Amino acid sequence: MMFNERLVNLLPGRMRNQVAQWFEAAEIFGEMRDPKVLAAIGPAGVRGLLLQRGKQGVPTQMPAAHKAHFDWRYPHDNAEMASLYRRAKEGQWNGDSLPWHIDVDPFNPEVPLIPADFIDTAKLASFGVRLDGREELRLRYSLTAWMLSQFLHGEQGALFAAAQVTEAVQFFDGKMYGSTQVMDEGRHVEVFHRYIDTKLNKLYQINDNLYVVIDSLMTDGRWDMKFLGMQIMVEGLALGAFGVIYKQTKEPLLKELLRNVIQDEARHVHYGVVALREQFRDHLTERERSEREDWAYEVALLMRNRFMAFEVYDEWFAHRLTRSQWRELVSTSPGMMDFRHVMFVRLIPNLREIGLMSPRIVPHYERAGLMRYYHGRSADQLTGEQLLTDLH
Amino acid sequence: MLKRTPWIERAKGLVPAQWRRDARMVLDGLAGRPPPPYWSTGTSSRAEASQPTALPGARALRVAALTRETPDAVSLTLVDPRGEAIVYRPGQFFTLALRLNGEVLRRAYSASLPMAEAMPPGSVRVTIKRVAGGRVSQHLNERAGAGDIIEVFGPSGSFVVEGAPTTLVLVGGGSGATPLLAIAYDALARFPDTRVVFLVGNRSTGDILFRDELAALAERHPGRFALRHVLSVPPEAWGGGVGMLDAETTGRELDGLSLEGAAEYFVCGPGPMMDAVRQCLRGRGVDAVHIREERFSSPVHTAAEQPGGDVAVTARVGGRSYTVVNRAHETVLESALRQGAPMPFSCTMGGCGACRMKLREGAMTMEEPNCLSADERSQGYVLTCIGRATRACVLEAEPS
Ligand SMILES: Cc1cc2nc3c(=O)[nH]c(=O)nc-3n(C[C@H](O)[C@H](O)[C@H](O)COP(=O)(O)OP(=O)(O)OC[C@H]3O[C@@H](n4cnc5c(N)ncnc54)[C@H](O)[C@@H]3O)c2cc1C
Ligand code: FES
Ligand SMILES: [Fe+2]
Ligand SMILES: [Fe+2]
Repeated sequence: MMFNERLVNLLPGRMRNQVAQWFEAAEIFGEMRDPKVLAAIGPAGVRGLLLQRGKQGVPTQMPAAHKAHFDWRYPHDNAEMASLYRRAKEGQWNGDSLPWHIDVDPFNPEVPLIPADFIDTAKLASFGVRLDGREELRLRYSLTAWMLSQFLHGEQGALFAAAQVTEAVQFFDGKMYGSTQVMDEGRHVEVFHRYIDTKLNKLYQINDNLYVVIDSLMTDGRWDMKFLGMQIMVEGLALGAFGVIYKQTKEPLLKELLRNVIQDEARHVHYGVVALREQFRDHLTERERSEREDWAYEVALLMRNRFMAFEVYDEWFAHRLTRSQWRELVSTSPGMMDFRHVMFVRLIPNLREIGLMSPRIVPHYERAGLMRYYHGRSADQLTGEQLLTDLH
Repeated sequence: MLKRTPWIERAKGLVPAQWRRDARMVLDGLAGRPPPPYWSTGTSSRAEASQPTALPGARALRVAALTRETPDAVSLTLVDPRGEAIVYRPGQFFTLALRLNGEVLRRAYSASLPMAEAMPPGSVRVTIKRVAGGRVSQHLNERAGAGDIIEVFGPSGSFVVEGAPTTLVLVGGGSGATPLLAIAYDALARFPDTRVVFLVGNRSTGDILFRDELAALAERHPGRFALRHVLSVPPEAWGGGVGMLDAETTGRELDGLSLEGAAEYFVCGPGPMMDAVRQCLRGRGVDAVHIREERFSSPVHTAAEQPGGDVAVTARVGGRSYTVVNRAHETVLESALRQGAPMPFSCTMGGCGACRMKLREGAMTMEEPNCLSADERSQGYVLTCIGRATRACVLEAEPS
């Protein structure tokens, strides 16, 4: 690490950031212990981190290979999924009925999008970058637009993954339920896009690490990997992230938007837990199970260590801070810490519930400081309402 | 002649476009030209299309059925797609908001049936008469179709019967028959001791709205429902009244209807007709409190009324003060609602008075005509739904 940094600093300035970025990527993959996991994430990693396929300014084509599972007998095969389907039908809402008439002024300090301490400006000053009041507001606006843009990109992934999973899953009740999730995700794309497009007017490109996760599970043919990736990892992390903004924003339209989305997402993660618990317990060999366990661990680390708003860094500080200074700033700022904390509060108990926290992996989570979330409640024990009251 | 392509061009053709983009990405990165971190976005057309009106509180209703009443009038049956009943009183109207050529036009249309008669139950029927050169009325007459979704505000208005009058006299011209029909159905069904007189003026037989329905009502309630048609261009052998509903013809017709006892008058139709009827009734000694009127005019917004730029407006509503900016292209109501002030309103087109506020300071222009009376104007009342501030204003809502 130190060696890399010194090496990077010898390069001409404009090349420096690019090469530092590649070293970081190489580091991620160098640390992966299981060759199968490396094989599963590696190609997506090259496409996302090196070639930056998500940022090329044109639509991305991802080959998707999985089996569509038809059943001409229409069995009633899973009561819990059937009940989720019923709840989902009743929980439908119309994106148009959010209070869109509200004028959002991202620079109004009286109605902040995110709180003032979201990013630690004292630390920024200690790196030699001083922002005046107006600039601080602009930076927070950028960060909000960045987070919401990543939510939106994640929702696009969720929309397609939900459709794929609906085809691939073997429970018929799961397929029925899945159809509602496709609608839900479409609505989430609608409302996040509309908020970004008409209220913030700023759409960030997809974060490279988020791209890697989406690419790797879209192209993986195994349905339970898609499930694990989308329903548990991306949705679980998103649920936490939505919650932080929901709790902290003073902007009424955004709050209302997130309140509605969170209720849907709670169902989605619940479904993921129900579907995978049985699959992992009864239908996989130990070798297959532990591969998924490792995969989940690597993705959790990827999101914890690398989901660092580098797009905002590129925009604001590429010439003023090094990437590692930015990383330090983001990982120690109160708002961002809260952000990551809540992400894992939701995720870790779900991994436990589906059987991906065996004694084999626990020491690794321990070292990553993530075991303190182990005893929380998993999604199948939580309703959307409880999730929201938890946040107050 | 075979044109020679440079080798590099030919080589490019062999490499998939994706690989070329990949290579460019890597090289650009090394050259210090990273991809742009974000795009600036404007209102994309998709978001625009799903944003039907500028005001909150509208609901999307579906056209369940269309009935052609006359060559120039169509009835639309509107239902709530979620199955909720549409609740209103006979005589009230709904505001239909349509986006035509990029502009949102809001027009009032009265329910032409009471709730009890609505088919299917929970729906509302509105009847739209084509106005020459009229944008909304033409559009609905020519292009509305079953399945269309229309944004609707309301119900609004106080053109409703209170209590059970001994005699109810309904005087209407043209499309003015619409709310009167709903009132007639309702009064005949609910007040067994009330006598209903329906005097309706049209140009020719082909223009008469609800002719069959009115005839059926008369048949169902002999002795309690007196129906009288007046035509300005009558056919041969016409048994009804003849002429325009001016003061003289109206007086003659009322004489012939042998009205006895106290009566409540409900008048609705074109402006000149209404003025004439009022003059006639006052001349016959009818007290103004017994004459109820509904004017069918929509306010006209002309560019000349557009003030130059953004003007500050302070609105005192529900014990709190809200200061908002009245944007040049918006009404005071539109600006204030968008900026979070809980303003009162209902019809959004100057027809009901729900948005009435007192202008304490400043100046405002209003589209005309509207439902404010001369009295209200002299007391400094304004309608925010059709008002635009020309100078900084302070407005006060009435304590509710
Ligand atoms: C409270 C209320 C209830 C109403 N209920 C009904 C109803 O039940 N059925 C119905 O058909 N209409 C009703 N109207 C009238 C309706 O709201 C519209 O004004 C009418 O349809 C014309 O709109 P437009 O867009 O077609 O015409 P516009 O494009 O607004 O106007 C075009 C031209 O027509 C003139 N014009 C506008 N309105 C009228 C009119 N009523 N008669 C003659 N000329 C006019 C205008 O001055 C202008 O020159 C009601 C109006 C009010 C205020
Ligand atoms: S809202 Fe009806 S008059 Fe303004
Ligand atoms: Fe979603
Ligand atoms: Fe979801």
